[in-house]
Amino acid sequence: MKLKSLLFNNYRPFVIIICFSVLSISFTEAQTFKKKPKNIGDDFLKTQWWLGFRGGANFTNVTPINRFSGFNPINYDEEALEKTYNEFENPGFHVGLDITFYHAGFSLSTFPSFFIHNLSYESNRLWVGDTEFDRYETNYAVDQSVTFIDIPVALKYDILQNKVRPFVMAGAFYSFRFAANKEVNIRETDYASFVLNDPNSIQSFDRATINLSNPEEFNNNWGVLGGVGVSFDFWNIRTIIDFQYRHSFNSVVNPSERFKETEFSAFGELQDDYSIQNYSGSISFVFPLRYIDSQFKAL
Amino acid sequence: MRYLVTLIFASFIFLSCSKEEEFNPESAFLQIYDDNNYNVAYQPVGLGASDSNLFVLSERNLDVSNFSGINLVVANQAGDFTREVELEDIYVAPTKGLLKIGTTHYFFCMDRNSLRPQLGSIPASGDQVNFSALNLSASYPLAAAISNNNNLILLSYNPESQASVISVVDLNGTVVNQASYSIGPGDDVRTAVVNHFTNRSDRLPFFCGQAPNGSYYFNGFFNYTLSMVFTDLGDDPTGVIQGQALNAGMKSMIPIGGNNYAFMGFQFSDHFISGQIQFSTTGITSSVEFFDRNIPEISEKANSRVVTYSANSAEPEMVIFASETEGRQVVLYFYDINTGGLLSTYYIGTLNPFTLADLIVFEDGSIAVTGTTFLAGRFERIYITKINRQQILDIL
Repeated sequence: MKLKSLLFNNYRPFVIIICFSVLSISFTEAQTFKKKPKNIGDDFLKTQWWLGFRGGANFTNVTPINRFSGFNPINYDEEALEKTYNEFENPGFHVGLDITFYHAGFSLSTFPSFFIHNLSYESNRLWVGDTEFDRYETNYAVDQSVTFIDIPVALKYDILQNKVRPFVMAGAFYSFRFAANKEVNIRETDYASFVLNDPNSIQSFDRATINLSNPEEFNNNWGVLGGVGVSFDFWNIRTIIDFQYRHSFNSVVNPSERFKETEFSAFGELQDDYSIQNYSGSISFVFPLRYIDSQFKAL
Repeated sequence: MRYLVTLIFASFIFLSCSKEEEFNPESAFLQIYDDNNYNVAYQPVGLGASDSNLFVLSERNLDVSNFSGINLVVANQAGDFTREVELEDIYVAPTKGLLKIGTTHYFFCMDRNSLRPQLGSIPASGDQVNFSALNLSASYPLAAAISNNNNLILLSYNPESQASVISVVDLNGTVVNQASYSIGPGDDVRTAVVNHFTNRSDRLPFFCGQAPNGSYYFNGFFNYTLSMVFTDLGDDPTGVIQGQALNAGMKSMIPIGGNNYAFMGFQFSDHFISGQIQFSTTGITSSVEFFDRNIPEISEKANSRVVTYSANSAEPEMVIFASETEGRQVVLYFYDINTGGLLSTYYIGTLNPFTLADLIVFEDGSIAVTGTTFLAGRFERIYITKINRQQILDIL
């Protein structure tokens, strides 16, 4: 009962949207069946529902909004603890549905997907003493993966309405946090046997790699998207290839979890507040839902 | 179509504008205070809180003395570092814990030249630390507590008379009552007391206090042995729970009403806890008589602190024992003071070692723990972790 309630509360907006979408489709279908189309071919070209599968790869960058560190510096500048983010470096993947309503060159699309963002960053610490041997460095290399259930809505316009149809698109998305995983590799460097001009005298070693799920560190996300693409028909399948850019403005990081005592904060690894920017390339295979002719071909 | 578009965009607006969970950064956190000096180590001994500040009293190594000097680290209520006050190196050997009376925090320490105890006081602002010398002869301050009528209790060791001294001190540093109990001739105890101050591995669990019935108690040396001593400040103790030289006795104890106490004891490397037991404060018993079950995870030289706690009412419902494990974590044990039973256990720390120095309870039901963690496994730095009331309820 508790789990059921939890699931419903977490994904309530998602469920509401899906339900209304299904009802809307049914409503539109019902309205359509009441009317006898005069010219099936024309209507098919003018107005159509498409449903299919979609998948692709994406690259994520983050923009820090507020910076935080797992350490409270007593006698040095806090900027020394700032993280360095790797931009659009680690590919992520997404897979889901493509639902499109087409009418007279314009399409309203939604592609609910499992959308995995992969991002990475590093931070360093340095302790120094009176001699060159009193030096010790630590590097935290963090790979963070976040999976959202992504609900975008986009309006497309077909620039050309030939067999190959280039289009532009713009819209917005809301993403429900689904899962997250963080891997921290800790590498340390000891100058205990340091010899000037002898790099071999500096000893570096991997101290630990900690890999744990951390979904509680993230909030749901929203933002805007834009993109370009092309669609073409092959047999009765329409293939759509598109490239999108997504931009969110708010932090996806849950601040209430930041300073809690956790496996990560216990060794000084905390997340900044950051927003997500993402480039993605996708391919969809969609099928027409209305007015399929006897040869099951798209006209 | 129009209906669908309207619905979807309305949903977006609703979801985008929905309010995120309220978060108060002062309610729960873990903060680690880092110094970039390779050769510096911090050893906190006490934690305190005013309306706007958190105080960590810490020991530091001195070049001029084998005794530890004193630092005060001040943070705001969210745990963000504010400043560090390095006290004059004439003041050494602070007692464990900070004693809050009104808005001022108190501790005892010692003048390293005269070995005369000093009373240190920290105002709510934490701007400075004031000292006043006690009208006592040379005496090592071992432990301190608050008396029932808001005076201070000091347990000290007089090296000249080789006696444990328990003093009641007012907030101006005037000794208003005192009793002295001879330990016996010989230098063994003196060596043990000095080692307690100078070697961390030789630290001893000194503490003192006053029971609700007015009886004073201290865990210190009596008759050559580390013992739990009950006294009305007369010539002789009213009762003694004997340890076994330095190898057995009590680690922490708190009165929980009547003659009932909650305590953690040790027997060589073993430890045992009782959430509620009735002590006879008259007569002589032995700590080993209370040894019922070993708690193997507690490390041999572990620190221990105990506080009363109430999650749901004004009256104490439980005690929280804090200690250190063989796995170099800090462990909190929650015991019911009515049944004496264990309610829950909570661990602090994972990859880097964590040690315990002090544990305090806030008026809102939060608790805070301070101690040290070893960054990169080697740099000993202060941490404070605060656990709010809701988290404690979740733990329970």
